[in-house]
Amino acid sequence: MPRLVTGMVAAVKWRFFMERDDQHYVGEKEGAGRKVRWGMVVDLRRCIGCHACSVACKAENEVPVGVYRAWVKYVDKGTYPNVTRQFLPRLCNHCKSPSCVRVCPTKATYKRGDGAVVVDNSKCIGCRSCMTACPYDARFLNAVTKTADKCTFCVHRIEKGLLPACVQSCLGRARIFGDLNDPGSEISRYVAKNPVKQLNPATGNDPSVFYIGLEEYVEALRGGVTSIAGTEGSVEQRGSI
Amino acid sequence: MNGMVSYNVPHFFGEGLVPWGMLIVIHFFLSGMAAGSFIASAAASYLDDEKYKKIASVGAYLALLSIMVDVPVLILDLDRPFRFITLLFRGSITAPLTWGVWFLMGLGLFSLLNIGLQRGIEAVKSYKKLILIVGLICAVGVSAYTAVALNIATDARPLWSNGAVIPVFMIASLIAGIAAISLVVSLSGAREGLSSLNRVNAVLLLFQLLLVGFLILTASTSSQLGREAAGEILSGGLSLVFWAGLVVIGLVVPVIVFWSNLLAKVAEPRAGMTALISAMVLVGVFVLRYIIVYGGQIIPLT
Repeated sequence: MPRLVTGMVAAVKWRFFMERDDQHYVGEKEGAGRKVRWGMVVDLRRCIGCHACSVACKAENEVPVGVYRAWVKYVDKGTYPNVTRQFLPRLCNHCKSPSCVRVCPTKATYKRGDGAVVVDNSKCIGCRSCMTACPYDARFLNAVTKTADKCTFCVHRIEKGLLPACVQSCLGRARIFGDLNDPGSEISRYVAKNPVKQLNPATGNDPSVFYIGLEEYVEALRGGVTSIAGTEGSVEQRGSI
Repeated sequence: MNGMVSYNVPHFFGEGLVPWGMLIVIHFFLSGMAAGSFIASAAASYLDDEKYKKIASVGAYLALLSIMVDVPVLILDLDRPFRFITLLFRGSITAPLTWGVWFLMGLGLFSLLNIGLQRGIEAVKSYKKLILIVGLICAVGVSAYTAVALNIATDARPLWSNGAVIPVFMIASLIAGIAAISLVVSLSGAREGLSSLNRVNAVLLLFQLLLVGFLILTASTSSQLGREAAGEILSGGLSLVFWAGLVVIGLVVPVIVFWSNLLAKVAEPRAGMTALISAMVLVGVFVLRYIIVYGGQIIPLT
């Protein structure tokens, strides 16, 4: 019984006061001689599909109506009454070798030293090359600025030591954000402990956003088929992952 | 119910909206036609200045005219058209669009010089070889850049990442250039050189027919997404324009007419027939650009 009580207290503190050091503050920007690589793990086992991330992102970044920097995709599986629903929170993958940066003719899209891929919308000419080059459809045209737009990992927040808005607002704590290059960070420990997968790894873009439990999502999407010959160790891509 | 996507946020898809739409298709078509006309004009003027004089000069004018329509179309397609000028100063060398803009500008300049050449202006006559060679480099660059822009974009779009898209687009440029010249020449009532143009296009069209088949076949066997894209082209939303516009109007009928003329050794093809078939070939090339550009984007990736 005391264990239950202390557990509940811990849960309440964790939930309402965010009293977890490593999540409260993402840490210093540059360690001693070490380069930061921001990354995110989305634990699909904890996602309840509430769209708090989508809404927080929209409010934080003033994303225009009709488009989203962060959104959640639903896939249904099974036949009534035995149905389940899988969620897939989506955002820009901030790839290690981003194809959008390669094709941008004015260098408006670039990769920061800390790994975040961002758009300088004072340079963007709106040619939409990056939108055709993104294998994850993470980009859209901002109707207000008339330039390319997408998730920035909330770099304006990270720089002040805050978490990205979607991570801060996640009810189920399904999102873990941090420095992938720091072996002691929560995200690195999470990646070490759990089997993580990237979306469509065959593109060679090497996303910095990892998913846990992607197999179940893909299984729901394809109706039981989780892998295709020749793609061992990776979740096979399909048109709609 | 398995695999039913019950909620998603499509950024572009759903109502035929794609990042690269009709203006890009028109741009690809016109820049290809400009490049093809220049190549045909340069080849004609290199091979026989007297015999192919009409072809060389029509090609030179067509190239410049296409560029003059094409560049405004490309600029208008931008969402920030007035920032177009930054492309010239801040161009990233890894971006195909930067190369395309430089090649387009070069082709425009050398088409102008080529017109001077065809009109026999003394000042440019002594630089004939230089003008034709540098112009040819620009023309090949323009015809290749459109395909390279699609090809290197991402591996996730099987129709574009297929290497066959590059020869398909380059041959389409040449076909369009030759067809446009032969349309203008035959409409003006002249017949000189028409049979040579038809002969070249007969070979190119047959080759193109095989290449398009190869492209769709290899794309469809490459991945699940490729199968979906090929299905969309062969039996889905793009199937009508594909079969009617590209296969029948743009490839099979012209191939049959050109080859039957070729095999029957018709020395002087009828101008009216040539004009009609050339117009059909142009429609076919436009539809080909449309199908590749839309077919690559029509299957959402998310």
